[in-house]
Amino acid sequence: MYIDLFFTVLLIICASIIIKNRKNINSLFLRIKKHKVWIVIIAIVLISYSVMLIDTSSVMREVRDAFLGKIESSENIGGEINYYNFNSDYPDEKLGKADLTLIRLFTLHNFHEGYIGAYYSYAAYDEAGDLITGSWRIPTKWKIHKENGKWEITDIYEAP
Amino acid sequence: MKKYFLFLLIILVITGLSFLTVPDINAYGNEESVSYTNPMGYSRTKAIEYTENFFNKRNNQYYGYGQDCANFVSQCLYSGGIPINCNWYSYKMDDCFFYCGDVTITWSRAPEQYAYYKKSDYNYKHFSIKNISDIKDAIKEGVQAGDLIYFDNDKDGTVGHAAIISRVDSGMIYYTAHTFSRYNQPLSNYFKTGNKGQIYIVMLKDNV
Repeated sequence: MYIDLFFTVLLIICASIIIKNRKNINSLFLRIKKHKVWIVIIAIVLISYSVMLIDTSSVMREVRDAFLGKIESSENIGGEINYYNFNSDYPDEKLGKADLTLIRLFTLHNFHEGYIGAYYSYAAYDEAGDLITGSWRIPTKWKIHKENGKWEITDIYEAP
Repeated sequence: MKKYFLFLLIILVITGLSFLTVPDINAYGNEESVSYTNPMGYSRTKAIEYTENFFNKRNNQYYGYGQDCANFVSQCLYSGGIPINCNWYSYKMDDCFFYCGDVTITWSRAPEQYAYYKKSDYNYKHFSIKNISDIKDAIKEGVQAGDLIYFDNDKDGTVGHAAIISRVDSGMIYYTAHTFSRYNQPLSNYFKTGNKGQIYIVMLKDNV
């Protein structure tokens, strides 16, 4: 499971505002018109941040695939993604099933380098259903860098 | 006057009750040099079984801490048969009135626990790992599941985190730890993150 905290919270806020004002939608639009300038500023900030998030979604997908053993272990894989690669940590084991909850907390970058904050729980089982490894409720921060149009994790900050 | 006697009586009763509920710590002796051993030895299998049962949850029979790493390691060692003594113990009593137990700092804090086990009779050998390539040397030294790991994040000799080795295979050492629950985490991962520190390993004797 992969959750983006920003979009989830934004969705909840919008939904709750609409549900709260469902009987007076017209008055809601009137109120929005009243604070037009602020609404436009907020919208610009939110759209810019959304662009930042969408731009780095490839990193999240790559981390998810590494956790789920979909990336082969290789020294040639760019960046530090091998840190999460099941195949590089357990070359002799075959992954049967993996449970992953990956939540992106924030993204800050200048379209060249920046940081992503995330939080994850992960459990990997073999084909017989026995637990091989796992980490639960781990906050993590990744330094990211864009090389030839592709984002890579260059550093991982995580407590042991 | 009556009130004064009543007050005195209450104080006496409270004091008496607290004596009744305080564990008899002195029964284990109060000299620094006293150590106690288990004739059955240290069972690594039992210690690892404990990690398998409690890697992702707290055992209510013990005190829980926000920073639970050393506490968890102590629980594993105790389950493996290393007996408590006056310098390393944890008591938690369910049915107590005032005094609900006692925990030594060597049980619950990583730096003190490392210092304690380094000097303990159970210490067979201790050494440090400074990079990934040292892990293979550690395996050659004979590190086994059930040995101890301490993380020194600043390389200043002060330990900040404790864990127990839960698996060793031909090329890697794996550890299990609290506070952030980790199960069979490769030791090499420590050097792949922003941690620029070193690791201390304490190898334990099976019999003392």
